[in-house]
Amino acid sequence: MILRAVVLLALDHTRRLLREGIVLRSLLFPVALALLTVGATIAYVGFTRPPDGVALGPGAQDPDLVAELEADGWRPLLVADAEEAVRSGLAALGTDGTTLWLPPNTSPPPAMEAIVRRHLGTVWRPHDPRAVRAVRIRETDAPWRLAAFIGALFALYGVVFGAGAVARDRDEGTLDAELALPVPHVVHGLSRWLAGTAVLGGFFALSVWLLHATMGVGAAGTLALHGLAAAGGSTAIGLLVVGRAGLDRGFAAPMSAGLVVILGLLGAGVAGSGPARLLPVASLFAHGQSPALPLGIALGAGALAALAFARRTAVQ
Amino acid sequence: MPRLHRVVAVARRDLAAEMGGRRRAFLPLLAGLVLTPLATAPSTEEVREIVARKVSGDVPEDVAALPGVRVVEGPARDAVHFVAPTPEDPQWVLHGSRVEGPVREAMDARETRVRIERIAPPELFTPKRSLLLALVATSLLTGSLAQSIAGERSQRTLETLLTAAITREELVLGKWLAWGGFGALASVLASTVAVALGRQEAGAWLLAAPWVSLGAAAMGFHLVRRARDVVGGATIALRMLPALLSILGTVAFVLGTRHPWLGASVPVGGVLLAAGDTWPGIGPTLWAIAVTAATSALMLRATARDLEPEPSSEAGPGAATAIPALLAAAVGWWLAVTGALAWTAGGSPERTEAIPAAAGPIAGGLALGAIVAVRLARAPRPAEELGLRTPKAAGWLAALGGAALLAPIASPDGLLPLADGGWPALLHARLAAAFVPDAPWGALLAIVTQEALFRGLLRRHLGDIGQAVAFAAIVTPFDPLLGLVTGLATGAAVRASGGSVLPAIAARLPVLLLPSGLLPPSLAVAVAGVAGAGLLLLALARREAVPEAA
Repeated sequence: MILRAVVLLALDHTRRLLREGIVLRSLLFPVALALLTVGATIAYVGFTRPPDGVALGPGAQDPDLVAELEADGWRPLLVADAEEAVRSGLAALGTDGTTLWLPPNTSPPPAMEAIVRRHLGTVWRPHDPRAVRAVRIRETDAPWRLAAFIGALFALYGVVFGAGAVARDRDEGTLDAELALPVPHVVHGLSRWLAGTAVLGGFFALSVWLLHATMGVGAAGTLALHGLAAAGGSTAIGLLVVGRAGLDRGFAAPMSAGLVVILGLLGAGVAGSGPARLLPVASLFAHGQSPALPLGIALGAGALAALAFARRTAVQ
Repeated sequence: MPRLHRVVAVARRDLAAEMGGRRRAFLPLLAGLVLTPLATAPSTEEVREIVARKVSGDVPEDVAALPGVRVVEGPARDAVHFVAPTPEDPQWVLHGSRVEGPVREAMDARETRVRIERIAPPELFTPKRSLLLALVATSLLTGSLAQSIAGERSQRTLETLLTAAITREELVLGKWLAWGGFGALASVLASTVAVALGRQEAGAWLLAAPWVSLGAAAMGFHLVRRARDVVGGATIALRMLPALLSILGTVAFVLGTRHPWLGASVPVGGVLLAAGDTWPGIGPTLWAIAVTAATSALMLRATARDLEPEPSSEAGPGAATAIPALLAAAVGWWLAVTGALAWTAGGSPERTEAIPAAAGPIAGGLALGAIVAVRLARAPRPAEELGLRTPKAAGWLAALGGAALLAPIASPDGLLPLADGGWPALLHARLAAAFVPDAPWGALLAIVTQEALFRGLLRRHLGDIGQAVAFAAIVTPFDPLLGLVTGLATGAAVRASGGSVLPAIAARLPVLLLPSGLLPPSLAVAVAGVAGAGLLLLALARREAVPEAA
């Protein structure tokens, strides 16, 4: 009976959260902004980078030159009109053996120009920085940090969800109607905590996997679970700090207190190490750590918040 | 046909509401304060600063003597380091990340054997200050556009106006004339001042200048037509109008670099660039005005059609209500499955290969799941909306038949061959692999959320064929036959089950066995035969049962 009530009320609170356009926009905005920024940067780099083609006119189609260019990763284009190939943007450099055509505003990649100038025997050539051409992917945890940062933002949302869900219903009078239901008061606290945790955890998982699919976030599944713990912990903190406040009854102070706690946890996560990173929210920044303990602590915090909610509403 | 005197009356009423009483001169004063400095400020001569270029090593004397070139000791990080020719290497070798400017020119001037030619840059038309004048004049309208319709609605005066002896078209035209006209007037006045002071030459752009505000006002009214109050209207106008103007202007500029007439064909964006005196000749300007005027007329007509005292937020069944979900599904699925290819486009295919392909279907499945969750949260009866009901026996049989049909064809090879090369091939390969993912959990998530969205939610709005077409367009756009067959087969299972989505999910689950090789095609054909026979028997039994009952 009680379990059924918790599930039904949690589903109802989840529906209420998902119905609100502003909540949805807040949940989708961080990952959309991150992907848009990265996408725009990649597009800019892609559009502005010089082509990798070298136009070789009839007088410059030496097999040795073709082979050397190919060996270095460039694309020799055997064309009738090398000048036109450069003019149309197909090639970063063009020659017919007697003339060297260069693009209008930029210089060709030095390694490419060095090979062509060496074959043409010009007065000078740029130093051939072959080491730069070596293809290697730098191991980077930037995508993971970006995802963790979005998780930190979701943790701040958690305080708003936890505290706001109580304060708003109290002001609107719906909380009193809800408390009149024949179920223990702890059910109402628990259902609010579950709804906030599920919505935040679900959308954080979506954000992490979208980033993983486009940028490659290491240990995406584990990070999503750390995010679930952060969502649970922060929603519990919101429920704990709201006290007897309403939106028009001094909501700012408990809200600030909750946000300060979250910022403290985030600071511990970013700067700290060891036991501090076992806590929900802080654990977002603990790369490679198991999420079991933070999840357990978040569950405990949720239960504690529900009990505190029941105690407060019993005496109001 | 709108009557002019009524349109003017509405316009005067709107202007009087905003510029009446103590705030009479506020908006014109603000326009003057903002536009006057922009129109009158003198042009600054382009100053090309000569950046000192550091060189080191065996620097030739003629290079060292170049203005702006400074010789430094030893190889430096930001210097071009010269190494003189030797018997082994007869060329000068210039070390440095980029050899540019006068240093390159001086070295190329020494060439005797090879002619060095720098290709002349294409002529690039750039907008002049009048573009800024038109943009700023348009930005002054944001508050008024937000207030005009939404304010009437929140004050309950829109109902009165709509029941008065004016048509909706006259009402919208009047409001457009008031605010589009105000912006146009401000723009023309500022442009005239700029021309009179010799800051910019007069030209065809003067014709386009007022149309930026007129086009933007039509667009703004269309955007805020359903706003309930001023806050809602302001939120939309502030968020959307600048973004749309920027996007349309950028698109027009980019297209205009190909050909001015192409750029001029962009509604509002074309007229914005024409107002900036970007393109030579009067032709593109007149064409841009014509395009923007026609688009404005269409937007105003649509605004008048949708104008209601209380905008409805409840969406009933119909294809239009499915469009936001379809758009979100297309963006979510494509971003998740093909987003990694952005690195290839950016010149780093190695990065694309380093991203696990299995992540795409999982992310896509989560995105589709989020769309389903939000649609369900907003539905009055979520279980009914999704089609969560006990299926009829015919549904399970149809699912069996569907599974037998889909299992052999649902492979990364698909029904149509992969594209030959280039971007279509890359996109096709990614989307085909995501249709039958290797990772079982990713596949399960993708299948369940695809069926929940297309066969559960959208089938009610789009019908059996519509949902199959939408599924093919979003999930298998390069192999539409595969998507259509899948959509139709699973849609048939839902229909046979009496509207339950569960048989549709069941029909696609055997695909999960494909990578393991546990489901040979011969077995699938046998199962299809059994399912077909079962359906036939069921139909015959029903036919015989009907006369008995009669």
